[in-house]
Amino acid sequence: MLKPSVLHEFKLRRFFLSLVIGLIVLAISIIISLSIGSTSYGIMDVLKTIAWSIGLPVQPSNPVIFELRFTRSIVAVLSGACLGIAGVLVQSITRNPLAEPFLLGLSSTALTFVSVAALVAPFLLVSRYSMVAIAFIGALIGFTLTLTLSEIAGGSPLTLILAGIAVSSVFSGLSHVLAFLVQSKLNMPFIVLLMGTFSTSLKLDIAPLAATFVLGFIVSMLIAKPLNTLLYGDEYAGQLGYNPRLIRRLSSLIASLLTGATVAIAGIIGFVGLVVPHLARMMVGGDNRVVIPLAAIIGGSLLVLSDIVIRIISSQGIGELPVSAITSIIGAPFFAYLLAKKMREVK
Amino acid sequence: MKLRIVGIEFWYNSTKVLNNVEFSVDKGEFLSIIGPNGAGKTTLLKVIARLLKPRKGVIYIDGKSLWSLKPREVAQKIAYASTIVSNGFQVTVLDYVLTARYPYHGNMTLWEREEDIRIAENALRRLGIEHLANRRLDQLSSGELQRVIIARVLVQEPEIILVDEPTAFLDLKHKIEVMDILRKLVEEDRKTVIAAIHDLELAARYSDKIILLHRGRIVAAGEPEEVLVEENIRKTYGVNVKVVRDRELGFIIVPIESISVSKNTSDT
Repeated sequence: MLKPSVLHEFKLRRFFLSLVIGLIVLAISIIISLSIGSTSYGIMDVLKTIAWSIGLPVQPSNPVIFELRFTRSIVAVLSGACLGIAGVLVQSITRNPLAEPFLLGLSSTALTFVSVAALVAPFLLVSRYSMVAIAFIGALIGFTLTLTLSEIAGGSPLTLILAGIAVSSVFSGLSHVLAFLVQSKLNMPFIVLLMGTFSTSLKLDIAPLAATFVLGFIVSMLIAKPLNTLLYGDEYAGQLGYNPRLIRRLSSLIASLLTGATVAIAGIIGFVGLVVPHLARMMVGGDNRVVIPLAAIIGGSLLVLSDIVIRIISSQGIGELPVSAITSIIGAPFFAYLLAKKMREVK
Repeated sequence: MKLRIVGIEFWYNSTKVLNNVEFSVDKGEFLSIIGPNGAGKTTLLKVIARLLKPRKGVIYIDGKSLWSLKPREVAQKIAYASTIVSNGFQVTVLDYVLTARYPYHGNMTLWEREEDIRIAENALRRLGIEHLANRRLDQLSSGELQRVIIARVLVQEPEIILVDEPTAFLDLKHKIEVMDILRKLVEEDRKTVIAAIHDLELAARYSDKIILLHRGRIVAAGEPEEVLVEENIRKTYGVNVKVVRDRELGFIIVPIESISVSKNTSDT
């Protein structure tokens, strides 16, 4: 039998260990990601160019290719981190281990809004920031629709998922139609956003995504403790002096912003927000103060690794696969597993 | 810490649930709230816990109005032993009880202090559940869960403890154990306990004072022998009972027959 003080110590140690391992995996994934592509670019080249870019006196090899791949990898890392945190927030406030931004319809509404904006007011899409803002509003509306529909249907964990499927189906249909229209009108490869891609990532994508991530991460950490109390019920949070409705609204805003930003920049990427929080909890337990940072790292690694797989497959000359193809293959069976295992526990 | 409740009126939408409820409790008193289903017992507890805002009336804690205090100050004075909502989030007993220290942390404090861990350790030991610290909440039995909830209340270090049906779903042994723990908190720690309770005999045995609530009103209040009289129970529960007072065994309340529409006899 271990004493609580020892257990607490263990928890912190396990957290820091997971953090270190996560960061190492992330760094290795990024290095691999930088070295993979049509032009061969060895690990040594990557390390040399990294050394050069931080001011060391070495000869860089082909910095242009490096920069392109670097942009792509960083956008993948930030998207994964954003979706991972969004998943933790959405699961905590709905108290539903099956909840996820994509499954609850946040992503497809966000893309619908971006598509409508592209048709109605294309000038809005000149700035990435306004694109993120539009996607954010879309995601927030999608989330609100799902929550409302679920309440009307009885407000159980199952109705939440079903309401999410209803909302995301409607808006995914809409966004398909709109994406076709936008594509023919504006002559841009909008269609790739339907299933997510990092192949179109540009340097100017990094700043808005990074800003969103930093803001989302800080706010999530600030409300990590109230989110912990919310796991045990609204009344529990209330009697510890927190306002459950306020926490829930703030979390919804942040989750929508995080999801909206990734949709605006990389398109719809499903299941990351579902898988990542669970992986984090398996490693460090259910305390959101440790789950949130770890989810960011795992999410980042997962999407960089998925992107690596895609580029390996694409190098066979069949063209660029969307990211959601990989994340669905990993995520959907995981969803099935959770459905079988967790739904019995959740009442 | 003295709790005084004056003229409380509470409405759920257009239904009046509490009507002019008034009473006071002193430090180190065990007060039970009894009454038939729907009498307003749980609502009353939630109003005292500041979870629900009454339409009329004031609650004073040591002369200060409850709603003039900051939520965090209230959390340091009053703990409501609500049941835990089910979860699938891999949280442990220790995770759960430590959340009760949050009202004592600053806004920017991220981690527990050593003192917090020590308080949690003591509470778990006191309830004999130190061995459960690393167990997941969803793997506990009802008896274990009830103890964990009370341990959490202790970790919160309140002056006033509100419990709703502390013995529900528990077998005889666990019932007595939980009530003994609550009684100890009153006697040894001078805490105030306010319990909504269905079991009249348990209420009689453990309480200093009893309030009988019926349709949102206090029908009788006072010491157990003043409140638990046959006439009061018949009027509120709609059951003819025989109240036997035994010097050794305390109160024995035997239901004779239901006098409502159906003639079925009730067990409690």
